Parts: sequence; C-alpha cells; structure tokens
Amino acid sequence: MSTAYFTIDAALLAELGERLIGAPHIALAELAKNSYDADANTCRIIFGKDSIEVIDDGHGMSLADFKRFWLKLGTQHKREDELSPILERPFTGSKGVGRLAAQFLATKLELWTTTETPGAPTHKASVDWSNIKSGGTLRQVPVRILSVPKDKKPNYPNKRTHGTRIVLTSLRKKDWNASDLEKLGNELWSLRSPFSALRKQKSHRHDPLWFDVDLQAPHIAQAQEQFDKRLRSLTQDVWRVKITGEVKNGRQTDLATISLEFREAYPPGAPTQVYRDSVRLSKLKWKEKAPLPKTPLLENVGFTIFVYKLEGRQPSGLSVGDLREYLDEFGNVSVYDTGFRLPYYGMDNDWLEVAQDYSRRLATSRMLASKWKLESPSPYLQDLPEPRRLFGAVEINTNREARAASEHDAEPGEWLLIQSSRDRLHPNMAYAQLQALVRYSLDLYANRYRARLLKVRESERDTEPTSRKYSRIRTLLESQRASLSAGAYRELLNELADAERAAKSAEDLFDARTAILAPLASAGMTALGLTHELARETRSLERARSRLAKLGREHDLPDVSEAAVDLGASLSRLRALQNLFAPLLSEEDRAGGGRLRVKAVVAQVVDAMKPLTQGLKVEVEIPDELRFPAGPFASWNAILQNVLANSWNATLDAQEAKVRIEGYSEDGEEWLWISDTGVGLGVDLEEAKRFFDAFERKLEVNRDRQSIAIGGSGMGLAIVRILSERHGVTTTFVEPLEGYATTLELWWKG
Amino acid sequence: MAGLRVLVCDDQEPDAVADAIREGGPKLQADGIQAPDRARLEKLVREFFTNVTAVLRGDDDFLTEHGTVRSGFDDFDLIFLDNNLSHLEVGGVRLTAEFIAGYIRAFSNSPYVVSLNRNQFDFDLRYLVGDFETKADLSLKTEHLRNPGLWEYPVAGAEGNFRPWYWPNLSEAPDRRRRQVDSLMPRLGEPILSYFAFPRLAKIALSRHAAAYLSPKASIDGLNDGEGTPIENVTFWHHFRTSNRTLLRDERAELCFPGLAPVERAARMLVSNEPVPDDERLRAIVSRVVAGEIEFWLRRDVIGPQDVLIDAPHLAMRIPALLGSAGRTIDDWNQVVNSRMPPHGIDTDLFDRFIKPWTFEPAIWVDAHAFWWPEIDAAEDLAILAGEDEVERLRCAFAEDTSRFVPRDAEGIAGFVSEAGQPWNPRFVERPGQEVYAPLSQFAL
Repeated sequence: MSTAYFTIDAALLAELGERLIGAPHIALAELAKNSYDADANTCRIIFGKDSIEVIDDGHGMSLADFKRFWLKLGTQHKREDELSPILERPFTGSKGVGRLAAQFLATKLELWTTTETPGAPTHKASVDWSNIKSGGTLRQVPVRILSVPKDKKPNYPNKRTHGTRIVLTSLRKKDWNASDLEKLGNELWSLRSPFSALRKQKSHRHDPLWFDVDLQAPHIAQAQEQFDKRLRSLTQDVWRVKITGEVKNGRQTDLATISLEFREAYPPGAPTQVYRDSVRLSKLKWKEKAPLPKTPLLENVGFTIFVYKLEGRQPSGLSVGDLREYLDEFGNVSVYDTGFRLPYYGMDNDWLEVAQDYSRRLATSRMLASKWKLESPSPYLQDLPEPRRLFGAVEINTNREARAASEHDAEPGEWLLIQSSRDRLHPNMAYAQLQALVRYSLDLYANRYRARLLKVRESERDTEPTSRKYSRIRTLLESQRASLSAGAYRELLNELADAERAAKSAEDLFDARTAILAPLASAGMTALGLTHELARETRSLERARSRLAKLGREHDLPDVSEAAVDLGASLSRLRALQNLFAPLLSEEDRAGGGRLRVKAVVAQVVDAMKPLTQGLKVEVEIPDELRFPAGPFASWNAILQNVLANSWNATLDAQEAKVRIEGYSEDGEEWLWISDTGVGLGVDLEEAKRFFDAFERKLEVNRDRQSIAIGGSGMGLAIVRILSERHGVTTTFVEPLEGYATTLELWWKG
Repeated sequence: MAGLRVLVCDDQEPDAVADAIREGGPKLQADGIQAPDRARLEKLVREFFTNVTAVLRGDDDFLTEHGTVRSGFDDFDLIFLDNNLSHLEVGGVRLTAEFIAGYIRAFSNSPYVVSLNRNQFDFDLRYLVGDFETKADLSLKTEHLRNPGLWEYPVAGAEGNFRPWYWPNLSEAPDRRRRQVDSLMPRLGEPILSYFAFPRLAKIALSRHAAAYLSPKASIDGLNDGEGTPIENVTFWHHFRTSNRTLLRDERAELCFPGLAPVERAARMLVSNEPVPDDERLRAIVSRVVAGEIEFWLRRDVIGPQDVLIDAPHLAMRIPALLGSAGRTIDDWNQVVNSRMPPHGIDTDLFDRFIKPWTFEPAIWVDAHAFWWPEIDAAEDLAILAGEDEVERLRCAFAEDTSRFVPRDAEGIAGFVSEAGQPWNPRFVERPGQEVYAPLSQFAL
C-alpha cells in the first residue's frame, strides 16, 4: 500500500482569493485588519503609482510565527485565540485568508516584520507570483526570507521599534480612485477609533480602543474625505443631539456655557432647536452626594457629546446594528488630557453615573435650576441616555489646570490632577466639579428631550378629536373587562357612550361654526390689512387737502379752498370709520385677559359705532364697577358691535330709533340688557333661540333703507353666541323692557 | 427750529414727510430738510451698513475718532425714518426703521431718530410714551409732524388740540440729547441712580420693570436670589453691556471686548465691576447709546407713571391744595402747564417749602421740570395741609392728549389706567378729534 498526497495548484491561490475576497478594496481591508489583530495603534496605507504599502506598529512576527501563520493558508489561528495577545481585541480577519489578499492585489510582495522583543531582528520576505504557471504547485512558489540590518529596518508608525510592513508592487488593479477608497473606508470604519480619527487625538499604547488607519494617497483626489466618510457621518449626520460645553478662565469667570442642538424629528414631530445655558461652576450640585466645592476649580474645559438613537433607520446608510456594535465599544464620554485619552473613562466605567441612574429610574434632577422645570410634572430623568447611546469627549489639560490653580492660590490638590497610573484623574473636588458639569449637561438633555416630547404630545392631543379619545377609553375598558364586575362595566359603558355622543355632537357643532367663521376670519384679516393701507392713503389725501388749502389761501381761490374743506370733512369721516378697527390694533386689546369694566367698554363701542348709527339714540345705565368675565377687549367689542348693528337694523323701519343698555349685579350674578325699539323678534322667545344659529335671522329691511343696514348676513347673533360662550356668558332673548320691542340678555357669574 | 438739519428717509414718499415737517414746524432754512430719493437712500444705507458691519466684525479702522462711521447719516439734528423701507434694494432682509435706528444712534453723530408709521394709533394709553418697543427715540405717524405742538412746548389754552403731553419738543430734543451724551461721557462708570441723585424713597418706588430695564441683574431689595447687582450699583457702562435695545448682545460684546473668545466675552459682559474702557471712541458709542436708552427709561418708567418723578400738572392734580388760593378758574390750572419756571403756578410758599427741595436737578433729561414724588408724598405737614384745605376750586383733570386742564366732569373726558399706573390715580384724555387711542382696554381697567 502506498500513500498519496494532494498537491495544490499554485494558480488555485488566485482563484481562491478571487472567490473569498471578491474585490480589491476588501482585500486591502483584510491587510488593515491584520494590523488591528496585531494590536497595532496605527495602520498606514500608502498608495504609490504602482504600489500599495501597508505598515503598522503591531507586535510583528517572529520567524517562527511568520512561517507558522503567514505561510500557512486558511489557518484556524484567529478563530482559536479569539482575542489579540496584548490588547485583547476580538479578531477581525474573518477567514484567516488575509494573506491571500496580497496576491489578489499584486503580483509582487515584500514584507518586513519586527517583534516587540528588545533587540529582535527584522525579517524580510519577498514573493513574486508572476512566475506562477498553471500546473505548478504551491511548493514551487519560493518565499525568500532574510534578516535585515538594523539600519534598514522600516520606520514603523508612532516611532515604534516593532511592526509589519508590506509593500505590494505590480498591482493588479492600477486605477484606484476615490470611490474605491470610500468602499475601503466602509469596510474599516468600525475598527477605527473615533477618538483618533475624528478628533485627531493621541492615546496610550495600551489603549485597546486606539486604532486608526492613516491613508496617504497623494495621487487620488479627496482620498481622505472619501475614506473617512462613513466614520465622519457619526459626528455629522447620525447623531440626534449634540451637546457642547465650555469653560474658559473658569477660576476667574466661574462660568460654564452649555449648548444642546436637537435635530429635527427627535423625538418625532419636534423641530430643530438649540438650547443654551450657562451655569456657575460654584453652584453646581451633584445629586445626593456630599456638596461640591463653592469655588470654581476648573480653568479650561471643553466637551462635545453626541447622543444617538439606536433604533430605526439611520442617516448615511449606516445600519443600526453596526452603530450599536460600534457604540458598545466606543460609547460613553471619554476624557482627554492634552489630547491623550485616559483609558479609564469609556464604556467600562460609568464615571458620570448615567447607567446607574438610568437603571434607577430617577424622576427629576436636583442639579438643574428651577428655570428648567417642566410645565407638567414629568419624570424626565428617565430619558437620560444610556452610555451606549453616547459618544463624547471631555478635553482638559492637567498641566495648565495646575498652573492656573497656583496663579489663583488654590488649596493644595484643588485642581484636575492625573493619577500616577496615568489612566485616570485623581478623585478630588476639582474632578467632582468636572463630573458634575458634564453630568449637568446630560440632565439638561434629558429635561429638554422630555419637554420636546411633551410639546409634541400636547400638539397631537390638541388635534385629536374628543370622540376619538373616548373611543380609546372604550378600547381600554374592553381590555379591562375581566377585572370589573358586570355592573360596574355596564355602568361605565353607559356613561362612556353618553360622553361619546355629547362629544360627537359638540364636534359637529364646532365643525359647523368653523365653516361659518373661516370666511369671516379671512374677511377680518383683509379688513385689517385694508385699514393699514388706508392709513397710508389717508396720509396722501391729507397732504392733498393741505396743498389745496394752501393754494386756495395763497391765490385767493374760494372754490379750491372749499374743495379742501370738503376733502377734510371726508377725511374726518374716514378716520372715524377707521376707529371701528381700533380694538384690533394692539395685542393687549386682542389677547388681554383681565376683567374689564362694562361701562367703559360699552362707551367705547357706542362711540366708535356712531358714524354707522347716526340718529340712533343710545341710553346707558351701568354701574361703574360692573365687570365682564375675563376676556379681551376685542371680544366684548365684537359682541357689542354686532348687537348694536342688529339694533340699528331693527330700528330702521321703526318710528323711534332707541337703544337702552342696562347693567345689573345681584348675589354674584351679573347681567347686561340691550333693548331696542325696533321691529321685534316676530316669534316667541323659545323659538327665538334658533336666531343664534348661523343664517337664521335675516332681518327684512324695507328696500328703501336697505342701503344703510349694517351687515345683514345673518351671522351677527351666531358670532355673539360663540364669543359669549367662550368667555362664560350666556346670551338669550328675554321679555322686552317696557317701551322696547326686543331685549337681549347677557348673563354671567360675577 | 430754524437751522435744524433734518434728514427724511422714506423709500416711497419722502416729500410728503418733508412737507408735513414744513407745515408743522416754523420755516426751515432752504437746505434744512434733505429728503433723498430712493436711489440716493439706497446708496446711503448701503454705505452705512458696509462700514457698520466692518466695525462690528472688529475692524476699527472704519471708526472715526468720535466713534462714528463715516456716512450720509452724519451731521443732522433729526432723522425721520419711515418704518416701511421694504422697497429699498440693499440686499438681505426687508428694511424697517426699527432695523436701522439703533445703528444710527450708535454709529452716527445725529442725535435724534424718529420712526414713522410703525403704529396705526395716535395715542399710547399703555405706557404714555408713544411706542414702548421702538428702537428709535420716538415713534410717530407722518400726520403728527404737521402738528405745530410737536415742535414746541405745549401751551394749554381754550382750545383742546391733540398734543400728547408725553411728546417731546422736537425742536429742542436734538440739542438736549447732545448735552446728555456730553454729560455721560466722563461719567459712564457712575451708578445711574447716583448720577440722577435718586433720593432714598424714590429708589424704593422704582418698579421691578424699571429696575430690570437698567440691568436684568438689578435687584431692588436684595431679593434677586442674592445674585443680582444692587440697583444702586448699576452703572451706565453696566447698563450698556446688558441692554439689547440699541445693539444686539453679540454686537456689543464685539465692540467692548474685541478679539476675545466668545465665552470669555460673554462672561465679561456680565461682570458688574468691569472697568470702563479707556478707548475714547468706544466711550463715545456707549454714551450715545446709553443716553438714548436712559432718556427713554426716564420717560417710560420714571416719569410716565408719575409715581417716582412727577411734573407740575400731575402734582397739582394730585394735591390741589398746592395751588393755594388759586384754582378757581381753568386758567389758574392751566397756568401750571404754561409756566415753565418755578413755582409753576403753584403757591410760592408751598412750592418753596415742600416741592423745591425735591426738584429733579439734571434738567437736560426732562422736557418739563419734575420732582421726586415719594419724598413729597411723605411730607406729613403737606398731608395735613392738604387735609385741611377748604378752598373751593374747580374740579379739574389734566388731559394727557391735549396737555391742558379740563373740568373733570366735562363731556367726553375719559379716565384710564396706564400699565404702570394705579387705579386710584387714573389719568385722563379728552379725545378732541378722530385720533386713534390704544389699547382701548386701558379705559376699562
């Protein structure tokens, strides 16, 4: 018996690469992932004219490792170990075929590698795949390995003495462009540390989160922008709220400024909005713990925190799953000292106690000033974002803090001080102030988020018809039926049906009134606009009158002078008519809410109506202190103008045109009676109720006098009732006073 | 008024405004009124804003030694701005008088700006200033310019012509403003109340509204959460840094602290004891702005309610006994309006004993002599004297709209309560014509 062995056709490598990898940008990404897996902090990719260089500061490979892992295809090495040896990163090179990528990208490869072991040699390997012919076996592909003298060692990134450098030449794809780099960026963004990539921060060697890909492609336009596009979207498009804070010369100013920029539709229905706040450092509180320092202990601090929504569709085509994974790793708020990230502050450390309070379901913050109190009590701290929804950075400079502290004669240790482990700050009072400041901004976020939510809900609630609300209650009732006794259920159901019916008819009435009021409202708006324009025209007419008068005077032209006088009289009447709109000219009259004296309001209205009601005698007898219910002047004006207009119309055909307006007050009830000597209602009082519906009372005025009737649309009384009811006044026709044909009563509780 | 230089800015009918001024005021010199047409006005506005914008961006090369920018708005006594300047094509938002007025005050040497036709009403029942929101010094309608009363001190006579008491004398206003600015220049670091020599009771009588106008941080009685600046300490310079009436906050911050980071600037804008700058140009700007704003404050919050400062007509109406044996005829009463010199128609002895010591001294700030009401009101001897007064006088009311006394029960006299006024001390109008009064609800309070 003999034993046979498989031999592998060397050309199969190319085939395999093609199938496993699929595209050049994925191949290159695989090489960068190798750097990540090798615990590198930086992987630099340099595009030459016909070359690509990938160089990192990872732990490098010993000769044995190189042979064991690099020269062995499809190794299980990555799957077995799961975590990288030093920084314990989860491996990313998914199929152990990263090195196939090299062949996929180019026909020639040179590789240098140096381990971290002090004095370790640098090995260089060279492969040339151009000689592979179909039918040849892999063993026939020579890999030349040699030791490199120290002075020929590559310059690994970050001035490190170890790493790996790969140079690919004779590229198979020679026309790399910006679009390819964008795709490459999409492959690698989730490995890249946002801290270094976006904020250009440095970090410590042993910060597992510090990894970036440094792209150098001078021949490709906009290479970096395209490569960073996906990552940048995190700080450009994907966030929902951006929180920024700043302290400048805090020991002197005692001031921190905070700004919260909310994106539109967060929460859904809310607009884009920016909130600003400034807080005194010395007034900051920290939850229920011991009190914070009463003096400012921070000099210069800046922070930016992005809040994300980890559900629903994300902008920039980012998948919500990828975002979650990314923030699980890089989330929370980090601290940087002179640009170095302090590794202690990250997802593993809830230094702002956000996660803790999020899970405690706290209701409100004791840190916020009363000005942020919500109109309706609401547990807004429940909207505090978990650390995994945050990505933020606090920037400080402990050296400068120390200097400023000494300039201000601070007590020993009362400044931001880095611990000897250099991974965190000393937990002193200055740190507590920093913690409180950043946390304040998050509490303010929660507060504003809830305020926005309530506002949206309020506006939605306002637009939801009452009958629909009852319908929701009915659904609720059905769902709880089992827990109610049959009697209680029936009773509730009956009451609900009753309320629902009432609401429905109120809505129908409202719709009907809206139909009436809409054209009136637009007529009103037009009238107001017209008044404004009339003012200008009046000025022109006045100027003309003045010129005419002057000409008449100077040239002794009696006709011209007379024309000027006539024009003046017309102008005077025009101005008097404009006074009808006076109650609409000021905000106080349109929207004020005090209890106005009836006598004064009536006097104003009667006076303003005079140009329209010439010859109408109006008697007024109202106690000085009788007051309408709370409501704006414009409302009472509209009611009384309509009533007076009706009286005027009603008396056009009467022998005597007289109106009497009387007011009374008794036992907490108050009345205003408006009586006229017109033609009367013509129907009994019960039937007259319908006159308050729109278009129901269209007075028949003698054709000879129709031209001087006011209005006549049949809507006057409908308007009177709508406005009266709005302000708690009941309007009815009552038995007329002696000597009068009609009496309208306005009644209200005093 | 002869010799007053007037600029009319109206993009539609500049001549109508000029005619109204000519008709209302005494004759001007031929070149006294300039009313540029639309094209010239556009050029003028464009140039002005180019320079102002440069200054507000921190380029002080555009500032003259007087803290103004060179422009066609300089060297006038009065500038009238029609509120609707929307036909001017100068780029950006539609222009209104309100948009321009503050910049003219800050960056030109023309002392007095009047906005025209912003409101449709003629008489302001709410604050008795005309328009409490305007950035100009006064807000009027074009037709008011035709009223001779606007150009002189009111004369109370037999005829009740429309001439609100709160109108300034426009012929004198520019000169007064210049003197106000000159007076403030060296005293910007002085507390406002000390400058005006507020007596003790008058300080207490100031409304919170009045205090807040001087500074949002001003505290009258230490109740402002212990964090405010006592109102006695609020200086003109402090007011400038906290008031948005003429210039916006960022603009003021850029002027005061050029080159500083925004957060630092914001902090220094709030520091109450920030020293007054030495730069003469900045001091000139601050003086012009503050003079306009503080005069407005006096008119609206200090004199308007007649509860801190009171003028002679209101004083006589409130304590008729001050007229001594006079006051039996309407002429006696109107003497109080017409006599512009002490004792203002008041009994000389009583005036010297009770009123004169409480005269408001910086007369350049008021149109008519005024007196510290809370101190007069506190004089027990005067109260006793008023209580024992048995002289039968005509019961009169001072009509705010005609600036004259009228019999209290005459037809058409209507009482009203202004925003800061008290219902037990109503004010009155007689409404002689068809002028529009607003808000009407003030009649019914």
